[in-house]
Amino acid sequence: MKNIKILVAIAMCASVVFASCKKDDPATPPTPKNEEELITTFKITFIDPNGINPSYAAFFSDIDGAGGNQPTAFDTIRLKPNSIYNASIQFLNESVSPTDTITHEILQEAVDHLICFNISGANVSVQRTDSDGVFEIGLLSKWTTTNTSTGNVVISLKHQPGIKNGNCDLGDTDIELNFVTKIE
Amino acid sequence: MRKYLLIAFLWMSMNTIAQNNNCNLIFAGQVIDQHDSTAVPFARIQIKELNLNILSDSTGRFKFSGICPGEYTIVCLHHIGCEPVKIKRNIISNSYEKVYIEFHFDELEEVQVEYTVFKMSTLTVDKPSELEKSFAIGKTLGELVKQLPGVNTLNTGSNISKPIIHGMHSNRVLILNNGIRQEGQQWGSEHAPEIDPFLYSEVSLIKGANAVRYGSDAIAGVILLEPAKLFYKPGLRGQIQTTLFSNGRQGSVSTILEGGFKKLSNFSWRAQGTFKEGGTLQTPNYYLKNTSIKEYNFSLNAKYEIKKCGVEVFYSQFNTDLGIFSGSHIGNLTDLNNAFNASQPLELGSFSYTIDKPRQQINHDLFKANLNFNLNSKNRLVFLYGRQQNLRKEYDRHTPYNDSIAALGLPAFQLTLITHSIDLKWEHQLLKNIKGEAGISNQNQGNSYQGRFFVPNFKKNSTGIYLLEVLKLKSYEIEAGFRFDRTDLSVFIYESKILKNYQHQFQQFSGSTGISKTIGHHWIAKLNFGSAWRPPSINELYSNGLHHGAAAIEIGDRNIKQEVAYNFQIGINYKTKKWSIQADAYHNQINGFVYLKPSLPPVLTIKGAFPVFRYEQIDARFSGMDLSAYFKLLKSFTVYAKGSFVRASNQTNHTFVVGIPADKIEPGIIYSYQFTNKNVLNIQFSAPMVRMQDRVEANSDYVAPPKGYLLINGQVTYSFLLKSQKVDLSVEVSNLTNQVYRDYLNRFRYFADEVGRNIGFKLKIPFTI
Repeated sequence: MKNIKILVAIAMCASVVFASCKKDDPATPPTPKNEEELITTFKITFIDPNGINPSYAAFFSDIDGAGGNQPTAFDTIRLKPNSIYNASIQFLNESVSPTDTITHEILQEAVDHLICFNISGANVSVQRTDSDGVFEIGLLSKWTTTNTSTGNVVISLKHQPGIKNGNCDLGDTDIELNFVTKIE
Repeated sequence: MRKYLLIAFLWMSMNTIAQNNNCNLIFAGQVIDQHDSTAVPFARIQIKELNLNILSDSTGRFKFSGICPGEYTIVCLHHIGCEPVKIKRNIISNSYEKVYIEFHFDELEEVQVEYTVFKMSTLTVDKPSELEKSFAIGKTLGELVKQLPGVNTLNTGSNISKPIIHGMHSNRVLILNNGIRQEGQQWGSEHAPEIDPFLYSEVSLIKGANAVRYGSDAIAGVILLEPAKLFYKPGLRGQIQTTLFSNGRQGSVSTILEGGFKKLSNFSWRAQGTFKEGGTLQTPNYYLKNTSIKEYNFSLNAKYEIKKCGVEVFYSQFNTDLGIFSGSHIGNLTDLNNAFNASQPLELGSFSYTIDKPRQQINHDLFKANLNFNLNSKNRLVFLYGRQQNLRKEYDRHTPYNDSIAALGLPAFQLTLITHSIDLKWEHQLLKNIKGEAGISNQNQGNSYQGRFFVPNFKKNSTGIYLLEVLKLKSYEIEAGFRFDRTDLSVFIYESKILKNYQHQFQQFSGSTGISKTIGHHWIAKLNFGSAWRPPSINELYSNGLHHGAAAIEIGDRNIKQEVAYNFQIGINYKTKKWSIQADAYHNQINGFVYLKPSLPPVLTIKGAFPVFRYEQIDARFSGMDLSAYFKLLKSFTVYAKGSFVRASNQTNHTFVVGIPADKIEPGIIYSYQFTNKNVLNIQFSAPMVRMQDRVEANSDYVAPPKGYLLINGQVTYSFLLKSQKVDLSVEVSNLTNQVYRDYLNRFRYFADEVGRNIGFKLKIPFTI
């Protein structure tokens, strides 16, 4: 009998509890906000200053950022042999509209950034042609090709806040793209 | 409890001076079981010369009053057959005494019915000793429980430390903070429990799967944290604790203030606060850039209790702001490889208290209300409500390129987790020999994020119902219980910019049974079989993206089911005046063990190619042993050794499980010298030895596990009376030899050495106003 009384007491308390807890429901329904900044697109444009070879642009594009869907573009760099090109690089965020050109910000913070070119197999040499005042940046560069060949050029954007000294082995890597490069 | 004692002692010593030379002295104290430091209720205490006899109460306390000054023999006759303890004391003032007795397990028969405190006796409950506690003062919760056999820590640098029990951590270890399940973003291995260790005087550990009483997640074990009990004495009292560490020039101050009122003798309150700040940490050869920490915490507690019922409210806030070692924040795989190949971090720092990015800022609020009704001597109802709010902000090293976004100074991502929990318990004694507990609990949770996506928003509702009974026989204790839980998870996720809602449901029965047998005067054997489960955590189901710092793409699987553990455990306890040995062996079979499996091909991103890990379920087996043995060599010398060994295998693929603690043995020596009753000196040295973890698959990790190491730690503690207050002073050193080493369970082992020598000074001063 005593136990029954106790059970009744429990049931009463429980009902009060469960009735009251509905009001304490955490914020509903959750509304996610996405304020993240992405660099979705990399574009490198090659122009022959002598106007002999046609201009060429290579893209890397991954609109939804790392993971998720596969990149929509990852072009091969195709250049003519024994030529000189002026290259310029652009970084874009195409996940927002209008498209955000991140290149401007990188240029503004040029003292903290360095673009690096690591060439293997392709007969091409790259020289940065712009400067932050002390060190090169790499948004603009001169590409000199020789014989026909196929190889790779790894283009990377290094973030080196306060530590930039012209070397590529410092800082964080914000971008790293391994372009198949054909001199043909 | 210990603070309780301390305060009792303080209060009594306060009145000393006034009351000399008359016959109204008080002699009070507590009877404590020498074996496991628990209180012994209903022990008979006698003052021989006066022929005064009393019984200790249910919490082991006793009090004689109206004593004239003089020399007396105090005898504690616990039970028939127990060796009586005799203490000679010259009582000239009000005094307090802890009486340690050797508790003989087979003489429980007479008292068992009178136990009002429900004990979990078929499970081994480990508590850190006073010296172990003293060594951990000013450090993290992980560092405190790590001293118990079977526990390791998973570290992210030195400021983030998570307990690992029997090889498992995070969502497989349940932390009960003040009776409430601690709910933070526990799935993350770099998310430390939001706990201020200064607040909790009672820390206990229950190893093994045991979901029945505590609910899901208790797959590896449970850590119970309780502040000292509130004490109903009028007046104002408290204590100040302060620590200083050489490494990182870290200092902390923690104060407790508590009191009661003469006119409101059933009311008691406490306020507590901690402030901690530390700068850049140092390995033997270099500084670890950006490893500063700042922490401030406080709590308020009040309780009103009468015979029939009690009500208690508690509020605590934990706030931390800490730098993440910059050498560990890795942009991509090239950076990671550069960091691995460098013998020391590429960026070195100098000493500073400044916290830079990357950093974590965490706030954790806990509110608890507790109601209990003592219906009669055999039935008690407990109602518990808890609300927790966990806010975690993580900042990347890199601010956004876009100036207007950068100017907002927002964290890279922010997670807000709000949890309401309600527990209702009925503690009962059905028959003379059967006691038990039945309960129902509900938890309601909501999580939302801002900034970079890592896990989606969700709402979770979990309900559990359980029953547990213990039968006490002459030398046996038998326990059986079962539980049913159900969890509903509702997930909100943007897919192709459309908000979608997915529902998941998990339900599971769990059970436990155990037997404890006392053999002769000195042995107890315990056998326990328990099951536990946990629903998959949100990251295991939905994460899909780059895990910064780990330089890996982690992909969840929405079809993951619950993980169920079946744990078989056997423990032997042997205690005499000279020896104290505890050995536990366990075998934990886990079905549907969730783990991150490397998968091909790597994912191509604008930052380069990243390795991919997918959450998968396998069957796993964790077995091992925990040992501790103390031997009193001479009156004042004790030698000891503690050790733990875990073996874990993935039975589905017949491989080793990654991230399992290496074998560890820690021998040590303690020297104790008692100058007078209140002046005690302890000197302790220990040498933790950790083997290299060689149970890993070839090429399963970026870098092979680091070599084994041996450290020397030591501490000197001295307790003395200063104006009748017991002051504790200690000097401690970790890594005395300034050893250069890396630990397999530190996520930063890829990038940097462990911290070097660290000397600490600690002071605890109680006071009354």
